[in-house]
Amino acid sequence: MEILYIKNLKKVYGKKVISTALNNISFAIEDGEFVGIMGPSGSGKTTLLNLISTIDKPTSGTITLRGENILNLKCDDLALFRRRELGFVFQDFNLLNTLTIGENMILPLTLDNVDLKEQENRLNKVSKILGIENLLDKRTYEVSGGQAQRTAIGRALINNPTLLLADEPTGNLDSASARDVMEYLEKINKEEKVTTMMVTHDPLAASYCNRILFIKDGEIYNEIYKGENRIQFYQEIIDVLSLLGGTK
Amino acid sequence: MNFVQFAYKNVKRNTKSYLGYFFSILISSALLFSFNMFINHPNLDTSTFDDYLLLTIKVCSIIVYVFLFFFVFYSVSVFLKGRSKEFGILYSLGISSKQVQKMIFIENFIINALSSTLGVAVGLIFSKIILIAISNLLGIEPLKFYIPAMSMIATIIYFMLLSLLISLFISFVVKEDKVLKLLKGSETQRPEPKFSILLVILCIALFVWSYYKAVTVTKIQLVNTIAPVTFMTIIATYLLFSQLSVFIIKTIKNNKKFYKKNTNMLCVSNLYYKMKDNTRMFFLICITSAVAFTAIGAVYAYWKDQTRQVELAYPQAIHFATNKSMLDNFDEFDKKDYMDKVDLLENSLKEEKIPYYKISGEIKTVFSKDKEKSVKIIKESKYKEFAEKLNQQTVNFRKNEAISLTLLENKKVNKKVVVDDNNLKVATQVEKSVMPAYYDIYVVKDNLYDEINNNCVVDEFTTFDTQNYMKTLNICKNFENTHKEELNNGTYKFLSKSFVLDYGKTIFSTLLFLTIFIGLIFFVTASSFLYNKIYMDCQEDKEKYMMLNKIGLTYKEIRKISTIEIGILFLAPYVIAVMHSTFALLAVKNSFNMEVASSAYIVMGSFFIVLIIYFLIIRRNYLKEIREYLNK
Repeated sequence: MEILYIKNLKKVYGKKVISTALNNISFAIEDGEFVGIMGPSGSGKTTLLNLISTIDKPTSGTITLRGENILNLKCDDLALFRRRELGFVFQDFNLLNTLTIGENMILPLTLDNVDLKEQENRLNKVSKILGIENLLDKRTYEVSGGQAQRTAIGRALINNPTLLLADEPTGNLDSASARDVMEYLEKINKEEKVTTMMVTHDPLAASYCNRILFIKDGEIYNEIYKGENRIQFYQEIIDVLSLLGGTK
Repeated sequence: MNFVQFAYKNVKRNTKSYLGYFFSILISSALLFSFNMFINHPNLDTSTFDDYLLLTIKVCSIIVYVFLFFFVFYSVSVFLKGRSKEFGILYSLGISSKQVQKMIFIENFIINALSSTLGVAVGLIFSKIILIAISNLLGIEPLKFYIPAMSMIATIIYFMLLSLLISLFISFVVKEDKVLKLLKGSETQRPEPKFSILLVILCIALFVWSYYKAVTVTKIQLVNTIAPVTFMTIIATYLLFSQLSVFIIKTIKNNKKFYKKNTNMLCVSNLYYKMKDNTRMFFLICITSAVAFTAIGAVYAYWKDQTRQVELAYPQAIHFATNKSMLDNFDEFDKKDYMDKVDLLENSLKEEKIPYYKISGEIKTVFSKDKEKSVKIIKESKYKEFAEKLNQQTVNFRKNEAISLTLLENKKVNKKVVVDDNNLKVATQVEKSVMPAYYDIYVVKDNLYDEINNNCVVDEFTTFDTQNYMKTLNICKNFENTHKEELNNGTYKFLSKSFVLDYGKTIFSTLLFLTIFIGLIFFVTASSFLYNKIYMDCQEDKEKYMMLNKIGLTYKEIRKISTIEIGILFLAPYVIAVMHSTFALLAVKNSFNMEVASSAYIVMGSFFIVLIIYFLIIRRNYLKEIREYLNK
């Protein structure tokens, strides 16, 4: 089943001097997929992510999430839509330092006035999956970068989102923590069947995905699928990237 | 680009963030200038003011100057803290602390010079209006508009000196190692706010004690109570904002049902840190507001109560008496001279066609054997004559008794009084006297009065009374001017109700004006301080709300959280200040037996209205900024 369906998406910036950030992008994401978006700086990956996450509006084209056209939503409905249907993971974690690890994770639930018991249950479940059940009462500055990012993933998952959006989730992490975080994202995708879309620069992080879309100058340049082997997939990604960069 | 140009460009290109600071200095300098201009006004004759009033004016000016310094200093430090990233970059490029000091000095100098000059100009334009308003308020003739060179220069120099002082102290705020850490992101985050349960208890205990003292204080204890109670309240207030507030929010946090509902978690956890961060600001605003409310409320109440007090202390319009104890020899007493003066007064009343009645009599001052103590007495028959004319109820008393005409609300007299060899029981003390409160006088039976002939001085007095006593003002003024010497050396006692009331009106109007003015300065500076603080907070909050909006916090919810947060920032110090001033005014009410409620309502109410308007404006601007950022 298709979760996300994008058709003829176009985004143009500027009025006098027009620059096209995205041009005629169409693709779909199936339920349970783990899709990576890669491309050089300025290729339009972030614009694409912003459009899907409803933070920005496209110039033309449609975005459908689970059959609903999200472009019809207005202002505060958009925020509510994001709260209930989407999960976000950012490069710099974006945790609130006034809250504890546990409180950061249940924040979306408290905003929706979910029953206290239910909050507890979901927190227990998610924190166990992410291996941070012992850190719940810690403050954000008392945990490592990897743990902070896992907290952010927990916060994104706590509302059982239709789609998890990750923006360079390993960008601020050392390689060990990056691997750690990617393994958890993979695990969530496989075991909890969470559909995930991730924007990244890092070929290693990308190699955890099932499929990768390469974007160049606002258009889809290539698409590759993972076979059986992650190491081999990693090599393929490197090859495409060097092609992407080498066509100067 | 030299260094001065660099600093100049900093200001020029940072206009928006400097604007709040610029305006707050502009308004404070305009107010300071008007204040200065008023107290130095050539038409305001301060020579008639009592020493205590002149001293009060001096103390007030000092308070204003000192408070302004603190205010500007805090404003600058809040402002500079927001620029710590910029300083971090400068430090990492190798700027020296001395240069930073110099840069801050130049920046502040530019702003202070500009805004205070402009403030003086604004003050000058509005002073005409202010002067008319003051004169109406004071009920005195409008003061002339003048160009006060001294006040202009004083105001501008003061603000320029401020920028120098601030740059000297600022190194405490912008610490090199700290900003560098901030820049590199290696600064460890603020630990959780802590409180000590002992200090929380102390805080509550101090509050209870201070408030209890304020409610139960009497006029006699007042002088000795003011200092310790004020001191304890100040400590309690600091503890309230640094300890009790943390304790209360922590308690709220522990109520999971409430805490984990809606936006409460965001709000409460944020306040948890903000309260502690803003302790000093809350404290300063709270104390200054409390001082302003109490001072204005008390003076206003006193001002309104004045007529009643004067009428109580001076039952008749004019009281003229001899004062023989001032003479070296009683034979010097010139009865004719006294009678001439009485006639003069009576004739002037006739000339002015003022209806009056006249009562003459005598007062006996009886000395104790060792001549150390004396008691003043009048006859019962005279007392009755007075009371009848004044439509007062008389009190009957027995042979071995006396009545004290000392007003009950002023002082409680002993139960017994010794007159010559007679031990008299004080039958009653009056609430309304028939004689001026100046004499602490007793009424005794006529035959007892006549029996006393040794060790005593007999003074004669004449009183004139009329319904519309303010009409006698000119007569009294003339009389006092023509007989200045004799009145001043004390051989005669001349008491005029209209004169006292007129004089009191000027004094208390001046005091009232001063307190309102200082209240205004406190309020405006505190408010613009709040504005700067909220503006700086807004720059940080923007990022936070942007992120929260991404994960699904609606704008409505942001508005709700911000309203609560800004509301608390505004209201917390105000509410505590109102509490303090209420108890302080209660103390005033109990000690001076004055009605304070209506003046308290007016003062605090009008401040509240202005505060709410100000709150709404700031909230709107804050939300507008957040909203624009979200839609970017």
